[in-house]
Amino acid sequence: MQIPSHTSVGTSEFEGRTNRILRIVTRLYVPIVTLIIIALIGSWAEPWANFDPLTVAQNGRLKFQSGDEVLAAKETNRLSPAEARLAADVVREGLNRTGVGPRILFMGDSQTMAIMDRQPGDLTTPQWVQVILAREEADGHTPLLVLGSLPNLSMPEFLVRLIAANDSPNERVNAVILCVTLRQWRGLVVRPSELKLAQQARVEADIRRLIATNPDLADGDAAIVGALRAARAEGSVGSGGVRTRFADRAEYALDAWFNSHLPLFGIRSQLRARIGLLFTSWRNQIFHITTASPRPVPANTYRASLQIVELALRYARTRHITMVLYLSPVRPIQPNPDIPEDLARFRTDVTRLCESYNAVYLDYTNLVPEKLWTNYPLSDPTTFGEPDFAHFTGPGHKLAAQRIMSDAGEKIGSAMR
Amino acid sequence: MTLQSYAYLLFALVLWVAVYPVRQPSRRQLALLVASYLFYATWGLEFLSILIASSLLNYAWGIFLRRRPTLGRLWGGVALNVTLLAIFKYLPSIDYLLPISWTGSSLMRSLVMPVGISFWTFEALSYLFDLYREEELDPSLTEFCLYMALWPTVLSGPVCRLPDMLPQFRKNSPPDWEDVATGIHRIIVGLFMKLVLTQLLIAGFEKTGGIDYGFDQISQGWSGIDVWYLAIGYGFYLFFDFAGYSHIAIGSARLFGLRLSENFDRPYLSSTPSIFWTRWHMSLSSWIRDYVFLSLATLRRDLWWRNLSLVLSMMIFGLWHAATATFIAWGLYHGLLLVLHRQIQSIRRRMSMAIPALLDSLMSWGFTFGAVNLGWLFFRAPNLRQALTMFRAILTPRGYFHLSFRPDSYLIAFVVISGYFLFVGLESIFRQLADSGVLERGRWLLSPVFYAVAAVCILIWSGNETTFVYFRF
Repeated sequence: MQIPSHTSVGTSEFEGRTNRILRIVTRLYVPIVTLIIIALIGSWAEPWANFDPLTVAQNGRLKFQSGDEVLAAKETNRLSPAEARLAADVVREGLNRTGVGPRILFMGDSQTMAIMDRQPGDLTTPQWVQVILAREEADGHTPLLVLGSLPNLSMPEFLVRLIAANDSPNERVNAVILCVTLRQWRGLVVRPSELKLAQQARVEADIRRLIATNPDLADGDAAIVGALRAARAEGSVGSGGVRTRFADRAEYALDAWFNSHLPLFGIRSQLRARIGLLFTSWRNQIFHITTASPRPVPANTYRASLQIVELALRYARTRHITMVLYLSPVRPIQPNPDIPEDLARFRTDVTRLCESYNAVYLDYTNLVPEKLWTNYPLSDPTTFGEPDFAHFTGPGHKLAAQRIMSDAGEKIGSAMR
Repeated sequence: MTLQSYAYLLFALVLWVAVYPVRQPSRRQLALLVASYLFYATWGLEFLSILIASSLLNYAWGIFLRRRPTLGRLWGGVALNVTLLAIFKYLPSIDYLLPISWTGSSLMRSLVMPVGISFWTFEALSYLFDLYREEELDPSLTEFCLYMALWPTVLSGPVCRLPDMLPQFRKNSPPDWEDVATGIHRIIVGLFMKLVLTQLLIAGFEKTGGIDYGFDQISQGWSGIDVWYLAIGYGFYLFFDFAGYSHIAIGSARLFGLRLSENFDRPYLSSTPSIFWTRWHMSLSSWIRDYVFLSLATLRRDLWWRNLSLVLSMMIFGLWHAATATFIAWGLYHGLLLVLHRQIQSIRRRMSMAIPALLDSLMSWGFTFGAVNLGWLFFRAPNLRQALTMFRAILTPRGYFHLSFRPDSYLIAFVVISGYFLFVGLESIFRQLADSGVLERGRWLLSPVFYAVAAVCILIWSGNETTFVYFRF
């Protein structure tokens, strides 16, 4: 069909304009719709991410001591205000606690820091040890208990903390009480916070010296050296270890700006944790994993952990530090995540080590009766009311502290003098 | 400044806005050169000064070589570059061989390797080789300096060649919509690989355990499954890390209308070791093929010499990463693997075995996948002894019955790696459907969803980054 020429010009102009508009719309469609979807996901994710990723926040029955609790309130505790203050300082100051007089370093995992179904006036095991020490000390120089515990404390982290606590010439440690737990021998991970501690010049020099003088403990050495090497690689770029200064500052500034101005940025860590929690929850359901599922300890992490404890005992011997090792209480029910054969081997090996290095060995695996243990709350998204095999109630802590002091008090007392 | 940082994205945006209106090639080159130097200067002015010195020396040597391209002049230029590389890259790593009391020892220890020196030195070397081969190359000083310092490639490649880059530097058309769209697509894909997938593989959902832990902190007692997990997991980690980085680099350059050499092309789908090396770190492997292997292989016509050249070339490939026994062993391993593959091929040709095609492909892929991944044990293990211990675990059948890591580690690695293969498969199906027009409307729907989900994942995992492995080289 022939179209008159004047109409043809008008149509082609119109078509050209329409095509241009269409082209622009086509080009902008993907970016604009993408941004809309991102905004929709962001607005949906914001309330979903509004949660505290820490275990303690998920488990309403578990409480970590902060130092602000009312400790003197419980009638049965009969704490004087001074004792309550001392007990509060144990958790408030942690590893940084300083003062005049002898020092005892107390280390363990979250079992030594948290209380199930906490009642007013409940204290943790190290807080009780501090109170008992204060009560037993007659000459007015109460030994200071320095709390080096950390949730999920691995044995490499224990060694790093021990050396860091004993690093300063004016703040030597006289005795160490270590709560050893089989569950923490399943891994050798050193967290970034502890790696920073390990990278302090004096601490790193001490660690390297210790490793160099104990080449027979190769697995333990490798676990520590490997962590330090990884930390150096993480903290540096290029083989020379040069950090980008100006760019770093710019990056931090931009990150901070995005965090405060864009909602999705501000909730990144919560979203990551939430996704991780979702993954764990699905995993548990698919594989029928419960808190009581057997958790075997790999032979290589076990061997390395044992050797690190031996390294610590050798370090303590050269520094004249009295070592008290106690096997953490195990919940007396079956099924149990600790496999009996693993537990038997653990007992034998730690006993042998303590005998070799003249350290105090206390087996508290059967110390805390079933009535002092509890279950996770039903609301916990990954454990749904299953038994808690790691933490016990306030009276359990008091029992553990009393037994430590009655079994090892004399040895600890002599180390203070 | 790294390519996956916010500061970089802002830098790229500002640069794009500033450079887009510049049409004249010489002004455009100058603007890009200044930007590249500014970018590199964020790593330290001392590094920048070494890069500029190397660029000027190589440019001058290029003029000298072009006048009379003799072997002696070429070797002079090669020696110049290798000396520079040796001073900063290899000397500090052998200082332990020298007496501590020697004054030079402390000087050697204090040497800091400029970031990306291995990459831009190889670019300079390829320029000299090309001149010796009498390629028609006449870069201006600005063009040559830009080639050496181009910001997307200066840190970790891709290793470019001047004959590919020069025409692009000289064109006077601005980047078109296709360039910008492709550039953004590549950057998003790269960030997703680099920030999300690598982190899931290396540390899972929590920063406890993972692949680094398995290599660094465990010194013995791995089961066969552990070693396979570490080898395959690290292989994919390296792939996501480096291929992701390459995507960002290639995408960044594409935003400015520059097309860089590709570095990866689905290497884990390779059905032979030879194909793998045409798909993995392609810019460097083709460099080694063109300038090392072919130069060596053409010296004699014997088969044994060609095989030896292959092994030597791969050892140089390993040595390029670092002068350690593990990298040399990695190169040797791949050289032997390539020779073995050639021998098997020639035996099969002679025997004319009839294997069903699907079974044949699956077997070839399985062998290549396993062999290439086992090679990463040499690449990643802190020492040769550990790598050999891990190999021994693979070959010990009774050592397959225990696990050394948290079950989550195996599970996440399995999910991520299966997810990758699933994605590649689906992508290929979608591409075929889209090409045939079946999915034309679906693409409109799927594209924004794909980009939005990728962008949200990048946002969630950003600010939690791990170190880029190839910065060490």
